[in-house]
Amino acid sequence: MDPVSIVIVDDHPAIVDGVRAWCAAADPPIVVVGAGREPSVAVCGAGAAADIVVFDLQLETGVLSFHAVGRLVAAGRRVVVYSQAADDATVLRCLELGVSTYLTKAEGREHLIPALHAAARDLPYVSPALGGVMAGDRRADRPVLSDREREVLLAWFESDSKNLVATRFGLSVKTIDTYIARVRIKYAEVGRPASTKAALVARALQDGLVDLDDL
Amino acid sequence: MQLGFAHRLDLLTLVDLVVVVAVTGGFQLAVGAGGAALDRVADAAIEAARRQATTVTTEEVARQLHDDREERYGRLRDSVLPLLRGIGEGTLSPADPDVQRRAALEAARLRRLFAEESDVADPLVVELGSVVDLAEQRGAEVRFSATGQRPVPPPAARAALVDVIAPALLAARRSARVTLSAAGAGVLVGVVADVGVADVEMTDAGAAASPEISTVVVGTEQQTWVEVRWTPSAS
Repeated sequence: MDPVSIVIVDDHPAIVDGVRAWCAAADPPIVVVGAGREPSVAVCGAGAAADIVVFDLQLETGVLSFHAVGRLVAAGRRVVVYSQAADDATVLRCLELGVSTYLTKAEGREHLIPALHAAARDLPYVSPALGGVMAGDRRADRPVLSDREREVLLAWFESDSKNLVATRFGLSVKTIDTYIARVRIKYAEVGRPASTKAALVARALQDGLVDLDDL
Repeated sequence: MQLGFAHRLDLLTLVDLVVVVAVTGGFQLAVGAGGAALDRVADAAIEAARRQATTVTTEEVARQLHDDREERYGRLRDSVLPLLRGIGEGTLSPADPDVQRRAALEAARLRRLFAEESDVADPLVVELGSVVDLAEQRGAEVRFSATGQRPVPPPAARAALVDVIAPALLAARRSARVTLSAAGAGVLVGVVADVGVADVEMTDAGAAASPEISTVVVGTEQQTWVEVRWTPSAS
Protein backbone atom coordinates (compact mmCIF):
# COMPACT_ATOMS: atom_id res chain seq x y z
CA MET A 1 0.00 0.00 0.00
CA ASP A 2 1.30 3.46 -0.84
CA PRO A 3 2.22 5.62 2.13
CA VAL A 4 -0.24 8.31 3.16
CA SER A 5 0.57 11.62 1.47
CA ILE A 6 -0.28 15.12 2.67
CA VAL A 7 0.02 18.68 1.51
CA ILE A 8 0.39 21.40 4.15
CA VAL A 9 -1.25 24.82 3.87
CA ASP A 10 0.41 26.94 6.54
CA ASP A 11 2.22 30.25 6.47
CA HIS A 12 4.73 29.44 9.21
CA PRO A 13 7.83 27.72 7.81
CA ALA A 14 8.59 26.42 11.29
CA ILE A 15 5.22 24.69 11.50
CA VAL A 16 5.70 23.17 8.05
CA ASP A 17 9.12 21.81 8.99
CA GLY A 18 7.82 20.64 12.35
CA VAL A 19 5.02 18.70 10.69
CA ARG A 20 7.51 17.32 8.15
CA ALA A 21 9.71 16.07 10.97
CA TRP A 22 6.76 14.43 12.73
CA CYS A 23 5.61 12.80 9.48
CA ALA A 24 9.10 11.48 8.71
CA ALA A 25 9.30 9.96 12.19
CA ALA A 26 5.76 8.52 12.05
CA ASP A 27 5.16 4.78 11.87
CA PRO A 28 4.28 4.18 9.09
CA PRO A 29 5.86 7.36 7.68
CA ILE A 30 3.67 9.99 6.05
CA VAL A 31 4.91 11.69 2.90
CA VAL A 32 4.69 15.46 2.59
CA VAL A 33 4.29 16.14 -1.12
CA GLY A 34 3.87 19.89 -0.92
CA ALA A 35 3.59 22.87 1.38
CA GLY A 36 2.90 26.54 1.10
CA ARG A 37 1.03 29.46 2.54
CA GLU A 38 -1.72 29.59 -0.10
CA PRO A 39 -4.51 27.03 -0.47
CA SER A 40 -3.53 26.79 -4.17
CA VAL A 41 -0.63 24.57 -3.12
CA ALA A 42 -3.25 21.88 -2.45
CA VAL A 43 -4.82 22.05 -5.90
CA CYS A 44 -1.85 22.67 -8.22
CA GLY A 45 1.25 20.55 -8.78
CA ALA A 46 2.20 17.65 -6.54
CA GLY A 47 -0.19 18.77 -3.79
CA ALA A 48 -3.21 18.07 -5.98
CA ALA A 49 -2.70 14.32 -5.58
CA ALA A 50 -2.16 14.34 -1.80
CA ASP A 51 -4.46 12.09 0.22
CA ILE A 52 -5.01 14.77 2.84
CA VAL A 53 -4.80 18.54 3.03
CA VAL A 54 -3.45 19.73 6.38
CA PHE A 55 -4.94 23.19 6.63
CA ASP A 56 -3.95 25.96 9.01
CA LEU A 57 -7.02 28.06 9.51
CA GLN A 58 -5.74 31.63 9.42
CA LEU A 59 -8.19 33.65 11.40
CA GLU A 60 -6.58 36.90 10.29
CA THR A 61 -7.92 36.27 6.82
CA GLY A 62 -11.35 35.74 8.33
CA VAL A 63 -14.04 34.24 6.20
CA LEU A 64 -11.62 33.49 3.33
CA SER A 65 -10.10 30.61 5.23
CA PHE A 66 -13.50 28.97 5.74
CA HIS A 67 -14.26 29.44 2.06
CA ALA A 68 -11.02 27.72 1.12
CA VAL A 69 -11.82 24.80 3.41
CA GLY A 70 -15.34 24.59 1.94
CA ARG A 71 -14.01 24.55 -1.61
CA LEU A 72 -11.47 21.82 -0.86
CA VAL A 73 -14.14 19.67 0.78
CA ALA A 74 -16.52 20.31 -2.12
CA ALA A 75 -13.79 19.11 -4.47
CA GLY A 76 -13.74 15.82 -2.58
CA ARG A 77 -10.53 16.46 -0.63
CA ARG A 78 -9.97 15.19 2.89
CA VAL A 79 -9.13 18.22 5.00
CA VAL A 80 -7.57 18.04 8.45
CA VAL A 81 -7.67 21.47 10.05
CA TYR A 82 -4.65 22.13 12.26
CA SER A 83 -5.16 25.50 13.82
CA GLN A 84 -4.16 27.69 16.68
CA ALA A 85 -7.83 28.54 17.19
CA ALA A 86 -9.63 26.41 19.76
CA ASP A 87 -12.88 28.34 20.13
CA ASP A 88 -16.06 26.31 19.85
CA ALA A 89 -17.64 28.33 17.02
CA THR A 90 -14.64 27.88 14.72
CA VAL A 91 -14.33 24.17 15.41
CA LEU A 92 -18.06 23.53 14.89
CA ARG A 93 -18.11 25.54 11.69
CA CYS A 94 -15.27 23.43 10.28
CA LEU A 95 -17.11 20.22 11.18
CA GLU A 96 -20.17 21.56 9.39
CA LEU A 97 -18.08 22.27 6.33
CA GLY A 98 -17.16 18.60 6.25
CA VAL A 99 -13.54 18.45 7.39
CA SER A 100 -12.16 15.04 8.32
CA THR A 101 -11.12 16.29 11.71
CA TYR A 102 -9.99 19.34 13.65
CA LEU A 103 -6.87 19.59 15.80
CA THR A 104 -5.47 22.49 17.73
CA LYS A 105 -1.77 23.21 17.38
CA ALA A 106 -1.44 22.79 21.11
CA GLU A 107 -2.26 19.11 20.61
CA GLY A 108 0.99 18.49 18.76
CA ARG A 109 2.28 15.37 17.14
CA GLU A 110 0.70 12.82 19.48
CA HIS A 111 -2.67 13.60 17.94
CA LEU A 112 -1.79 14.93 14.50
CA ILE A 113 -0.08 11.76 13.30
CA PRO A 114 -2.84 9.31 14.33
CA ALA A 115 -5.41 11.78 12.96
CA LEU A 116 -3.71 11.72 9.56
CA HIS A 117 -3.52 7.92 9.53
CA ALA A 118 -7.21 7.77 10.42
CA ALA A 119 -8.29 10.42 7.91
CA ALA A 120 -6.52 8.60 5.07
CA ARG A 121 -8.75 5.59 5.74
CA ASP A 122 -11.90 7.67 6.27
CA LEU A 123 -11.95 6.70 9.93
CA PRO A 124 -13.15 9.20 12.52
CA TYR A 125 -10.53 10.81 14.75
CA VAL A 126 -11.57 12.95 17.67
CA SER A 127 -8.83 14.75 19.58
CA PRO A 128 -9.53 15.73 23.20
CA ALA A 129 -10.12 19.36 22.17
CA LEU A 130 -12.64 18.34 19.52
CA GLY A 131 -14.32 16.04 22.06
CA GLY A 132 -14.61 18.94 24.49
CA VAL A 133 -16.20 21.16 21.88
CA MET A 134 -18.74 18.53 20.81
CA ALA A 135 -19.62 17.78 24.44
CA GLY A 136 -20.20 21.47 25.13
CA ASP A 137 -22.21 22.17 21.97
CA ARG A 138 -25.34 24.10 22.92
CA ARG A 139 -26.63 25.01 19.46
CA ALA A 140 -30.28 24.29 18.79
CA ASP A 141 -29.54 22.16 15.74
CA ARG A 142 -26.77 20.08 17.32
CA PRO A 143 -26.92 16.29 16.99
CA VAL A 144 -28.66 14.51 19.86
CA LEU A 145 -26.14 12.77 22.11
CA SER A 146 -26.92 10.25 24.82
CA ASP A 147 -25.86 11.11 28.39
CA ARG A 148 -23.19 8.43 28.23
CA GLU A 149 -21.83 9.75 24.95
CA ARG A 150 -21.51 13.23 26.43
CA GLU A 151 -19.89 11.89 29.61
CA VAL A 152 -17.36 9.89 27.62
CA LEU A 153 -16.49 12.88 25.42
CA LEU A 154 -15.98 15.15 28.41
CA ALA A 155 -13.89 12.50 30.14
CA TRP A 156 -11.75 12.16 27.00
CA PHE A 157 -11.29 15.94 26.90
CA GLU A 158 -10.32 15.99 30.56
CA SER A 159 -7.97 13.06 30.69
CA ASP A 160 -6.48 12.74 27.19
CA SER A 161 -6.29 9.04 28.05
CA LYS A 162 -8.69 6.39 26.79
CA ASN A 163 -7.31 4.03 29.43
CA LEU A 164 -8.40 6.39 32.19
CA VAL A 165 -11.81 6.90 30.58
CA ALA A 166 -12.22 3.12 30.29
CA THR A 167 -11.17 2.63 33.93
CA ARG A 168 -13.59 5.28 35.11
CA PHE A 169 -16.65 3.87 33.37
CA GLY A 170 -15.69 0.21 33.72
CA LEU A 171 -15.70 -0.24 29.95
CA SER A 172 -13.11 -1.42 27.46
CA VAL A 173 -11.00 1.04 25.48
CA LYS A 174 -12.67 -0.36 22.36
CA THR A 175 -16.11 0.54 23.71
CA ILE A 176 -14.88 4.04 24.61
CA ASP A 177 -13.61 4.39 21.04
CA THR A 178 -16.99 3.33 19.73
CA TYR A 179 -18.82 5.96 21.80
CA ILE A 180 -16.48 8.70 20.58
CA ALA A 181 -16.64 7.55 16.95
CA ARG A 182 -20.42 7.40 17.09
CA VAL A 183 -20.63 11.04 18.14
CA ARG A 184 -18.32 12.03 15.30
CA ILE A 185 -20.57 10.16 12.85
CA LYS A 186 -23.63 11.95 14.23
CA TYR A 187 -21.88 15.24 13.47
CA ALA A 188 -21.03 13.99 10.00
CA GLU A 189 -24.74 13.41 9.46
CA VAL A 190 -25.73 17.00 10.11
CA GLY A 191 -24.73 20.08 8.18
CA ARG A 192 -23.73 20.35 4.58
CA PRO A 193 -23.45 17.10 2.58
CA ALA A 194 -19.94 16.26 1.37
CA SER A 195 -18.30 13.22 -0.15
CA THR A 196 -15.80 13.09 2.71
CA LYS A 197 -18.65 12.92 5.23
CA ALA A 198 -20.39 10.23 3.21
CA ALA A 199 -17.15 8.23 3.21
CA LEU A 200 -16.84 8.63 6.97
CA VAL A 201 -20.39 7.41 7.53
CA ALA A 202 -20.09 4.56 5.03
CA ARG A 203 -16.88 3.39 6.62
CA ALA A 204 -18.35 3.53 10.12
CA LEU A 205 -21.38 1.46 9.00
CA GLN A 206 -19.07 -1.02 7.31
CA ASP A 207 -16.93 -1.39 10.42
CA GLY A 208 -19.98 -1.77 12.64
CA LEU A 209 -19.16 1.39 14.61
CA VAL A 210 -22.72 2.55 14.11
CA ASP A 211 -25.81 1.01 12.62
CA LEU A 212 -28.53 2.72 10.66
CA ASP A 213 -30.75 2.98 13.74
CA ASP A 214 -28.17 5.21 15.41
CA LEU A 215 -28.40 7.81 12.68
CA MET B 1 23.12 9.85 8.96
CA GLN B 2 21.44 7.13 10.97
CA LEU B 3 19.62 8.54 13.94
CA GLY B 4 19.09 6.51 17.09
CA PHE B 5 15.60 6.44 18.53
CA ALA B 6 16.49 8.49 21.58
CA HIS B 7 18.14 11.08 19.40
CA ARG B 8 15.02 11.30 17.27
CA LEU B 9 12.88 11.93 20.32
CA ASP B 10 15.23 14.70 21.42
CA LEU B 11 14.93 16.37 18.06
CA LEU B 12 11.17 16.03 18.07
CA THR B 13 11.00 17.75 21.43
CA LEU B 14 13.06 20.57 20.00
CA VAL B 15 10.83 20.75 16.95
CA ASP B 16 7.81 20.85 19.24
CA LEU B 17 9.23 23.88 21.03
CA VAL B 18 10.09 25.63 17.79
CA VAL B 19 6.57 25.01 16.50
CA VAL B 20 5.07 26.51 19.64
CA VAL B 21 7.38 29.48 19.43
CA ALA B 22 6.35 30.01 15.82
CA VAL B 23 2.70 29.82 16.81
CA THR B 24 3.14 32.66 19.27
CA GLY B 25 2.63 34.93 16.30
CA GLY B 26 4.79 37.70 14.96
CA PHE B 27 7.84 35.53 15.36
CA GLN B 28 8.84 34.08 12.05
CA LEU B 29 11.33 31.57 13.33
CA ALA B 30 12.05 30.35 9.85
CA VAL B 31 13.40 26.85 10.16
CA GLY B 32 15.14 26.61 6.82
CA ALA B 33 13.60 26.17 3.42
CA GLY B 34 13.18 22.49 2.65
CA GLY B 35 14.51 20.67 5.68
CA ALA B 36 12.51 17.47 5.40
CA ALA B 37 15.18 15.31 6.99
CA LEU B 38 15.01 15.20 10.74
CA ASP B 39 18.63 16.12 11.37
CA ARG B 40 18.40 18.97 8.94
CA VAL B 41 15.32 20.28 10.71
CA ALA B 42 17.28 20.41 13.93
CA ASP B 43 20.24 22.04 12.21
CA ALA B 44 17.95 24.54 10.59
CA ALA B 45 16.15 25.23 13.86
CA ILE B 46 19.46 25.86 15.53
CA GLU B 47 20.67 28.08 12.71
CA ALA B 48 17.39 29.95 12.66
CA ALA B 49 17.45 30.37 16.41
CA ARG B 50 20.96 31.78 16.21
CA ARG B 51 20.20 34.09 13.32
CA GLN B 52 16.67 35.13 14.10
CA ALA B 53 16.84 35.22 17.86
CA THR B 54 19.54 37.83 17.79
CA THR B 55 17.98 40.05 15.14
CA VAL B 56 14.33 40.05 14.20
CA THR B 57 13.01 38.42 17.31
CA THR B 58 14.85 40.51 19.87
CA GLU B 59 13.71 43.66 18.12
CA GLU B 60 10.23 42.28 18.01
CA VAL B 61 10.38 41.33 21.67
CA ALA B 62 11.63 44.76 22.62
CA ARG B 63 8.81 46.38 20.70
CA GLN B 64 6.12 44.04 21.93
CA LEU B 65 7.21 44.42 25.53
CA HIS B 66 5.53 47.77 25.46
CA ASP B 67 2.10 46.40 24.85
CA ASP B 68 -0.23 44.38 26.99
CA ARG B 69 1.21 41.06 25.93
CA GLU B 70 4.28 41.77 27.97
CA GLU B 71 4.23 38.56 29.93
CA ARG B 72 4.01 36.33 26.89
CA TYR B 73 6.93 37.90 25.16
CA GLY B 74 8.79 38.39 28.40
CA ARG B 75 8.77 34.64 28.77
CA LEU B 76 10.16 34.25 25.30
CA ARG B 77 12.91 36.70 26.03
CA ASP B 78 13.82 35.29 29.42
CA SER B 79 13.59 31.58 28.91
CA VAL B 80 12.80 30.39 25.41
CA LEU B 81 15.28 32.44 23.44
CA PRO B 82 18.28 31.70 25.68
CA LEU B 83 17.41 28.03 25.37
CA LEU B 84 17.24 28.14 21.58
CA ARG B 85 20.32 30.31 21.47
CA GLY B 86 22.26 27.96 23.77
CA ILE B 87 21.42 25.07 21.49
CA GLY B 88 22.46 27.16 18.52
CA GLU B 89 25.77 28.14 20.04
CA GLY B 90 26.51 24.60 21.10
CA THR B 91 26.59 25.39 24.82
CA LEU B 92 23.43 23.29 25.24
CA SER B 93 22.98 19.91 23.56
CA PRO B 94 19.59 18.73 22.33
CA ALA B 95 20.70 15.23 23.36
CA ASP B 96 20.97 16.37 26.98
CA PRO B 97 17.89 15.19 28.93
CA ASP B 98 17.89 18.46 30.89
CA VAL B 99 17.80 20.51 27.71
CA GLN B 100 15.07 18.29 26.32
CA ARG B 101 13.13 18.75 29.54
CA ARG B 102 13.50 22.53 29.45
CA ALA B 103 12.28 22.55 25.86
CA ALA B 104 9.20 20.54 26.85
CA LEU B 105 8.54 22.82 29.83
CA GLU B 106 8.83 25.99 27.78
CA ALA B 107 6.54 24.57 25.12
CA ALA B 108 3.93 23.76 27.76
CA ARG B 109 4.26 27.21 29.31
CA LEU B 110 3.74 28.97 26.02
CA ARG B 111 0.74 26.79 25.24
CA ARG B 112 -0.78 27.65 28.58
CA LEU B 113 -0.21 31.36 28.08
CA PHE B 114 -2.24 31.06 24.91
CA ALA B 115 -5.02 29.14 26.51
CA GLU B 116 -5.20 31.66 29.33
CA GLU B 117 -5.01 34.64 27.08
CA SER B 118 -8.39 33.88 25.57
CA ASP B 119 -9.90 33.37 29.03
CA VAL B 120 -8.54 36.27 31.02
CA ALA B 121 -12.07 37.32 31.92
CA ASP B 122 -12.63 34.08 33.82
CA PRO B 123 -11.43 34.41 37.44
CA LEU B 124 -11.44 30.63 37.84
CA VAL B 125 -8.82 30.38 35.07
CA VAL B 126 -6.66 32.89 36.92
CA GLU B 127 -7.05 31.06 40.23
CA LEU B 128 -6.25 27.70 38.69
CA GLY B 129 -3.27 29.40 37.04
CA SER B 130 -1.69 30.19 40.38
CA VAL B 131 -1.66 26.48 41.32
CA VAL B 132 -0.37 25.61 37.85
CA ASP B 133 2.50 28.06 38.44
CA LEU B 134 3.40 26.25 41.64
CA ALA B 135 3.30 22.86 39.90
CA GLU B 136 5.58 24.24 37.20
CA GLN B 137 8.01 25.59 39.77
CA ARG B 138 8.22 22.03 41.05
CA GLY B 139 9.27 20.94 37.59
CA ALA B 140 6.06 19.59 36.07
CA GLU B 141 5.02 20.34 32.52
CA VAL B 142 1.37 21.43 32.71
CA ARG B 143 -1.06 21.58 29.81
CA PHE B 144 -4.18 23.66 30.21
CA SER B 145 -7.28 23.52 28.07
CA ALA B 146 -10.71 25.13 28.49
CA THR B 147 -13.89 24.65 26.52
CA GLY B 148 -17.58 25.51 26.41
CA GLN B 149 -19.70 28.44 27.58
CA ARG B 150 -19.05 28.41 31.29
CA PRO B 151 -20.74 30.24 34.15
CA VAL B 152 -18.48 31.84 36.77
CA PRO B 153 -18.89 30.12 40.14
CA PRO B 154 -19.05 32.38 43.22
CA PRO B 155 -15.76 32.92 45.11
CA ALA B 156 -16.37 30.25 47.77
CA ALA B 157 -17.13 27.64 45.11
CA ARG B 158 -14.06 28.64 43.10
CA ALA B 159 -11.89 28.26 46.20
CA ALA B 160 -13.39 24.82 46.86
CA LEU B 161 -12.73 23.71 43.26
CA VAL B 162 -9.10 24.82 43.47
CA ASP B 163 -8.70 23.13 46.90
CA VAL B 164 -9.91 19.83 45.55
CA ILE B 165 -7.59 19.66 42.55
CA ALA B 166 -4.50 21.22 44.17
CA PRO B 167 -3.08 18.12 45.93
CA ALA B 168 -3.06 16.05 42.71
CA LEU B 169 -1.69 18.88 40.61
CA LEU B 170 1.07 19.67 43.09
CA ALA B 171 1.98 15.99 43.33
CA ALA B 172 2.63 15.81 39.56
CA ARG B 173 6.15 14.66 38.82
CA ARG B 174 6.80 15.51 35.19
CA SER B 175 3.47 16.26 33.58
CA ALA B 176 -0.11 17.18 34.31
CA ARG B 177 -3.20 18.15 32.37
CA VAL B 178 -5.67 20.73 33.68
CA THR B 179 -9.03 21.25 32.00
CA LEU B 180 -12.03 23.42 32.50
CA SER B 181 -15.36 22.71 30.86
CA ALA B 182 -19.05 23.48 31.07
CA ALA B 183 -21.26 20.87 32.69
CA GLY B 184 -24.98 21.58 32.64
CA ALA B 185 -25.45 24.82 34.56
CA GLY B 186 -22.11 24.37 36.30
CA VAL B 187 -18.44 23.80 35.59
CA LEU B 188 -16.07 20.88 35.67
CA VAL B 189 -12.39 21.09 36.57
CA GLY B 190 -10.20 18.13 35.73
CA VAL B 191 -6.63 17.36 36.69
CA VAL B 192 -4.64 14.37 35.52
CA ALA B 193 -1.22 13.96 37.12
CA ASP B 194 1.48 11.40 36.42
CA VAL B 195 1.51 10.11 39.94
CA GLY B 196 -0.04 7.01 41.50
CA VAL B 197 -3.22 7.69 43.42
CA ALA B 198 -1.58 6.27 46.56
CA ASP B 199 0.93 9.14 46.46
CA VAL B 200 -1.66 11.90 46.47
CA GLU B 201 -2.92 13.15 49.80
CA MET B 202 -6.46 14.07 48.91
CA THR B 203 -8.21 16.58 51.08
CA ASP B 204 -11.95 16.52 51.49
CA ALA B 205 -12.18 20.06 52.78
CA GLY B 206 -13.61 21.53 49.59
CA ALA B 207 -15.97 18.65 48.98
CA ALA B 208 -17.31 18.73 52.49
CA ALA B 209 -17.74 22.48 52.46
CA SER B 210 -20.57 22.58 49.99
CA PRO B 211 -23.28 20.34 48.60
CA GLU B 212 -22.70 22.07 45.28
CA ILE B 213 -19.26 20.48 44.94
CA SER B 214 -18.82 16.85 43.95
CA THR B 215 -15.61 14.98 43.25
CA VAL B 216 -14.63 11.88 41.30
CA VAL B 217 -11.16 10.36 41.64
CA VAL B 218 -9.90 7.80 39.15
CA GLY B 219 -6.55 6.33 40.01
CA THR B 220 -4.13 3.86 38.52
CA GLU B 221 -0.61 3.02 39.58
CA GLN B 222 0.82 5.68 37.30
CA GLN B 223 -1.90 8.31 37.06
CA THR B 224 -4.38 10.17 39.19
CA TRP B 225 -7.36 11.91 37.68
CA VAL B 226 -9.40 14.21 39.89
CA GLU B 227 -12.60 15.68 38.54
CA VAL B 228 -14.50 18.23 40.56
CA ARG B 229 -17.86 19.60 39.58
CA TRP B 230 -19.65 22.69 40.75
CA THR B 231 -23.40 22.54 40.26
CA PRO B 232 -25.35 25.61 41.41
CA SER B 233 -28.17 24.55 43.70
CA ALA B 234 -31.60 25.45 42.37
CA SER B 235 -32.86 28.46 44.26
